[in-house]
Amino acid sequence: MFNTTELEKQWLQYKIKSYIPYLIISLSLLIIILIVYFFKFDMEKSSTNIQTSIIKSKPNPKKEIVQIKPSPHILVEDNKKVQLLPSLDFMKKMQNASQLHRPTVKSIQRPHISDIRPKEETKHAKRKKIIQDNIEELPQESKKDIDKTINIERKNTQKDIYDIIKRFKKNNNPVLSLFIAKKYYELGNYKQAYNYALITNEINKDIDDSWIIFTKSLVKLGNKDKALDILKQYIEHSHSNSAKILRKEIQSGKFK
Amino acid sequence: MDNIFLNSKNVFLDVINNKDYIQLDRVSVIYQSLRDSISKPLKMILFYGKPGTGKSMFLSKLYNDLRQSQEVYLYSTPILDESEFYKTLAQDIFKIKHDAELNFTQFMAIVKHKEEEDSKETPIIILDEAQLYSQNLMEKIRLVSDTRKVKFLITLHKTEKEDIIAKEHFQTRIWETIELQNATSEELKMYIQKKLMQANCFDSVHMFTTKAVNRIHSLTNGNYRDTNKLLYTLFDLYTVYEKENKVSALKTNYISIKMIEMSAIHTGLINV
Ligand SMILES: Nc1ncnc2c1ncn2[C@@H]1O[C@H](COP(=O)(O)OP(=O)(O)OP(=O)(O)O)[C@@H](O)[C@H]1O
Ligand SMILES: [Mg+2]
Repeated sequence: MFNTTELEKQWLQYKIKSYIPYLIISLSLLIIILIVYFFKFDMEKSSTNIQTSIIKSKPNPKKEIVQIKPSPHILVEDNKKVQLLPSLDFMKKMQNASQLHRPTVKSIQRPHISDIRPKEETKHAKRKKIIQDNIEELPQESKKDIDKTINIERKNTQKDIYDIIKRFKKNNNPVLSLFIAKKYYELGNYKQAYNYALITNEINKDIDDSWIIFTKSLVKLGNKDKALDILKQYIEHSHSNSAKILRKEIQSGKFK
Repeated sequence: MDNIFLNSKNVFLDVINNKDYIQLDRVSVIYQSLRDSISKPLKMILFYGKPGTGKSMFLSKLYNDLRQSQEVYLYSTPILDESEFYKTLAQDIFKIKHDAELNFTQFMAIVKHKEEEDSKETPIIILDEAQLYSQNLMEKIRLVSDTRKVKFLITLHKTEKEDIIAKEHFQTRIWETIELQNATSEELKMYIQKKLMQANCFDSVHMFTTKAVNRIHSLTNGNYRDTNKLLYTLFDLYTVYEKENKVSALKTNYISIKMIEMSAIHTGLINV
């Protein structure tokens, strides 16, 4: 059944393969160390050069000073070219990367706000044009202020939610998932509200609030009939008063 | 020594037998909650997990426990023919033998008719491998469960939780879902040791050091079926090594990582 020699050969291959990444890492580390060491050595060499030239110059100080001065300059510059340039590049890249990163974060969050903002902005603009052209510049600043504060609030609640989601994933506490569902509902993300209410129901199907959020989200997502169907079954099962009230509100069109 | 390896090997044959069931902490919690939900007035219970997480094993244990105290049927392999499915249900639940074809309307007529007659305790039908039932039959099963004349425990092997939530027939129902997951490293150690112990393979129990179990866990992800396969091969390999008198080259007071990895290569868990 087994060809043990063949299997051992394959195993050896596998072992070698699995060590390749470590080999590459340690090799490149070695090379880096060597390069650093080499340049350090070079620097030291050049500084001893200067020293010796200074010692030599003692008998003829005036002339030598003029002679020495340019040489360290050149030496240092040479060193800079070889040694420092690549590391500077690297720094630039880092900066670029972080700069590139920031706008994308913003651009993700912007669209959320744009759902709400544009209408208000145009209203603002229209009103202003009618009243006076001069004042136009002032309100724009205040507009920016509003933008900023909203942005900050958003970030916080989003971050809050992600933190809680993280915690929830660890302990599966229905209280947390219900909180997430409610938060998402508040933020108008009914799909996620629906999902988390559903997850909450999975863990504990006797939480009134969770069923309420679940069916409310369903209505918001345009599934009124399904929501009523579920409410009906839930009321049958639990006789919940708040569910009955919600059912009435949905049926009368008060909640939509 | 020969016997140890051979006996240990057979412990890891992939068979479902409720006598071989091993009590694992997390599984017993799930077991309890599944038993609880069966006693609740729910119509459908969804039980799912990745392939090889021990669902079928679990069901066989559950079935054997439940049937001491209540009416329960286990359909291990799906009955794909609709008429056949209704006929089996009619036979099991209502003790009605039906030789000709039985369609859904006829079956529902039987259910309605019986409704007025008796009010015995709701029987439970356990469906394993339910992902194989057609969407259509699944919908009918849902309608049958709506009559509350029979309760279904539906077992699916699905990888993505979201997938199941998305399924239409589960969305609108009041149902309970329970998931079975892969073992952690500690659980896997318990599993291996208890399994060997049950088969009186005491000598090989101590060969599984934490290091060896961790390596096994990293290869199988804690999946019971993959672990079975790996360990079966491992002991097979030890037997061969013994025959070729190579075992002396290996230490036998604990399982060698090399042997584990070679078995993993052989079973395909490691791709060379
Ligand atoms: N609690 C347990 N006790 C003993 N053996 C177990 C246990 N859980 C799993 N196993 C072993 O794992 C193997 C795979 O389990 P099982 O066949 O039940 O998985 P499954 O989840 O039904 O997979 P699938 O989705 O492919 O049907 C079984 O053959 C059994 O030997
Ligand atoms: Mg199975």
